[in-house]
Amino acid sequence: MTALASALRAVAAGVATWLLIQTLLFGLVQAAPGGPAAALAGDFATRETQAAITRSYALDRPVSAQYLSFLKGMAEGDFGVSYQYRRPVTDLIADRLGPTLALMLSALVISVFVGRALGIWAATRRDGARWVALAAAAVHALPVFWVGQLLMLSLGLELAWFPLSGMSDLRREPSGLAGAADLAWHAVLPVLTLSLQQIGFFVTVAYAKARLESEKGYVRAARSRGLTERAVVWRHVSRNVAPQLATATLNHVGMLFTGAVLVETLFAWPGLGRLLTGAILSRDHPVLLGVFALITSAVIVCSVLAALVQARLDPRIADEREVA
Amino acid sequence: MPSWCVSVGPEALTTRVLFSILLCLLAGSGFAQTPVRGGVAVIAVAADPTTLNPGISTGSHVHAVADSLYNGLVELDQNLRPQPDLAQKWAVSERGTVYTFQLVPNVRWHDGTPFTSADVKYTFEEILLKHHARTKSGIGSILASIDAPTPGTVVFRLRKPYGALLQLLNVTEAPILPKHIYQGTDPLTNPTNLKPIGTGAFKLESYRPDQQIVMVRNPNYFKPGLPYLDRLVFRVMPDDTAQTLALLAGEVDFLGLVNAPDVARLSARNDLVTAQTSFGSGGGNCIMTMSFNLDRKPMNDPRVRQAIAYAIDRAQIQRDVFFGLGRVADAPISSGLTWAHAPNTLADYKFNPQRATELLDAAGLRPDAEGVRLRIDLLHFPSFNRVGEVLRQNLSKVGIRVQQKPLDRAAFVEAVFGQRAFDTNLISYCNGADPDSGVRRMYVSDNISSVPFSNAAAYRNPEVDRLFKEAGETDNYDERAREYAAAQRIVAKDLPYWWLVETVASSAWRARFQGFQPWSGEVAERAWLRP
Repeated sequence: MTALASALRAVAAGVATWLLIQTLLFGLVQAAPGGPAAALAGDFATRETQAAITRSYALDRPVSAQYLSFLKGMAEGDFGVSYQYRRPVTDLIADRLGPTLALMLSALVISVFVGRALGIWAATRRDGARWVALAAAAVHALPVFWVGQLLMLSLGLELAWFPLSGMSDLRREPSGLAGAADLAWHAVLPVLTLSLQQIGFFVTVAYAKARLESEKGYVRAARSRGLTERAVVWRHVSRNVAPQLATATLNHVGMLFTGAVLVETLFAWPGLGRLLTGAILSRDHPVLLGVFALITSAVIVCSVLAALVQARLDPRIADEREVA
Repeated sequence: MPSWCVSVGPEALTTRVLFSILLCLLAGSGFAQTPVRGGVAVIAVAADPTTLNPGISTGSHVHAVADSLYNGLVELDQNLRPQPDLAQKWAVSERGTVYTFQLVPNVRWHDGTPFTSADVKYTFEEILLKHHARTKSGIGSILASIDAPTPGTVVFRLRKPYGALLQLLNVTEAPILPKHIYQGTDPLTNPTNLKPIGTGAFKLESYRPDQQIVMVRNPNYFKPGLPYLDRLVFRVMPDDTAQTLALLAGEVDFLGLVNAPDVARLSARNDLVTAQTSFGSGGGNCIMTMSFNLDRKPMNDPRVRQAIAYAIDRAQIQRDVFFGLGRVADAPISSGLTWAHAPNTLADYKFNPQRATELLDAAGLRPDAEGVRLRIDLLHFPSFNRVGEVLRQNLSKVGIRVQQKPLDRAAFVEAVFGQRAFDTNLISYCNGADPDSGVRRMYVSDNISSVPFSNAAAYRNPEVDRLFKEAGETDNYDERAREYAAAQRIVAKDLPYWWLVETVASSAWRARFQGFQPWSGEVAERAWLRP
């Protein structure tokens, strides 16, 4: 099969999956008990008030009609207007995207870098340093919320090294360069919390692959040629771990979103995760479906990319499909 | 440093419309100090307000923030007595059906436009009575008309005397909005909802959703010298543990609602002040209450309801779940409403599992092979989980197996008030400032409908209907008290609900601040920072 054909197939599968997931999500959102009227109406709202809300958002139409206009909106890139904010969903998402991306990307870069280094280092030691892999698995399994609270208590409250909440100092409100420094300062604990869990994951991936590689002939050959251990590990082994890490990273975007939702809630970080949890509680269907669509797209684009990257970095993969 | 505590229980308060407050203040914090101008206060709020128009929502997440930008006709003091706000004085006609308010002269909106009686009339007619669910259901049926005979006078004409009217005119229940901004627009979508123009002590500087709301001092505020603070910042922090940590770390200065488990820890600190109040924005005088679905068997059997009442150790709930705060309910109406509360109405139901099993036997509910007499569900918000756990343990000892069903607000409203698909549920029913607005709705038969948080039990008793009707139509408080006491004795016998614990809300702030009003929407109007 040519590279182009396989790429096209991956893209087609991606589009089909996206449509399927959006339909499922639409159904799930409709099936959730308690609709927008119950969520939006006040505590003692009369039946008429609730009916008026239902009418004003055209929720009294048949589900099939709502589904069709939902699909039409998606096709046009129009996610509708938020029930609770009464603003276009795209505006709301645009506001929150920056903070979430900043959080996720910083955590991703740190965790891939540290995870790769730790995993390869441990796997290529003569004793195999299994404890590193075990510790990594344990760290990955820790609940993000709990880790975050521990970091808040220790580094934030007891040592008072880092701020605990939000993106900026509300009393000084610095701008320019000082503002950027303030933002970075506020990002330390949330990024650290999200990174710790992801580091656990990437150590596990790098460790497993590097163990496999280090037992292969080319490693022994390199050593017998008298290459330094550093050259063997960081020039040869690490190069062969790279495709595995790249695909693991791309396939991990969904998990990263999940972590971001929790971290944003804990550290009052105003991102997409907060928008999503708020939308769930208030049954804000357009926001819910809009954010879901974005996350689904990101996850699917990344998995398609993963397939392509894998094929590009390691042509054998198309035939072999190794299991690490 | 020596410290002292004053605890004023409800029994020590003699005024009619009341709440309880407990203040722990440090000696030397000084009442007599002169307030100083300047400074920033940071207040943590749990949810993004989503709109800064307090007239179109009853949500506490909206009012916790937006009320600082607006005023009501009256402000309630910490004993819930009406004090002047936009109205400087008022007179009530002999029959109690005409209220005439004199407005404060020379008040200006944040954009400089003069405030007049036309704003009041417009706000009620076009916004509050259409979009503010509580005001709509509370005042809507009583109000005959609102007149604005002069720019400085507003006249409310009622269909019948209504003793609780003034309590419903503060900024939380009836914020006054600018007619010149909202007239001819849809108040639900007017862009001013995000760039509000109020008369309040603070003006909006910026609103970043899910992040922070920054307000600055209104230099032209109509109350001389107020406010003292330069800036007021609300930070949206959804996690309550994170809120508490931020208060301890000094990032936040005021927490409107502190978790019960954290209260002891916070009140032990010298640099913090904690206050318990049974009143707060959006409710108050709340009783954690178990409702029985009287439309269902066997909950419609009074013996089964009595058995449940005898089987529940309410002191355990108060001690273990609420950490000793609040008190076990001893009447259907909260002790915070001292004049309406009928003490010891529930004295017959002492915790007595033995009596419970006898009643269940009498009702024909005998243990099956597993020892279970009855299986029921218990619907509640996830935050009431621990109350539900105690109920489940208590009731399992008398052979009633409880299945807890935690539901979020929207799902709960649908299940309980929409489909009525439940055996029992837990609701924190808030009695508010007056039984007519806060208690009546639980018991009167014309309230059995899909109105959320109304008559969940579907209780019908013509005598109780009559008593609440008559008590709501007079402003003779002796008469009202007699009628409410009679109604309480009847519902205590019929037991459509089981009243568990009168809960209190706790707030906490940094001791450097004075003058916070945690019971009021205008929380920081008089707050100042000690140098």
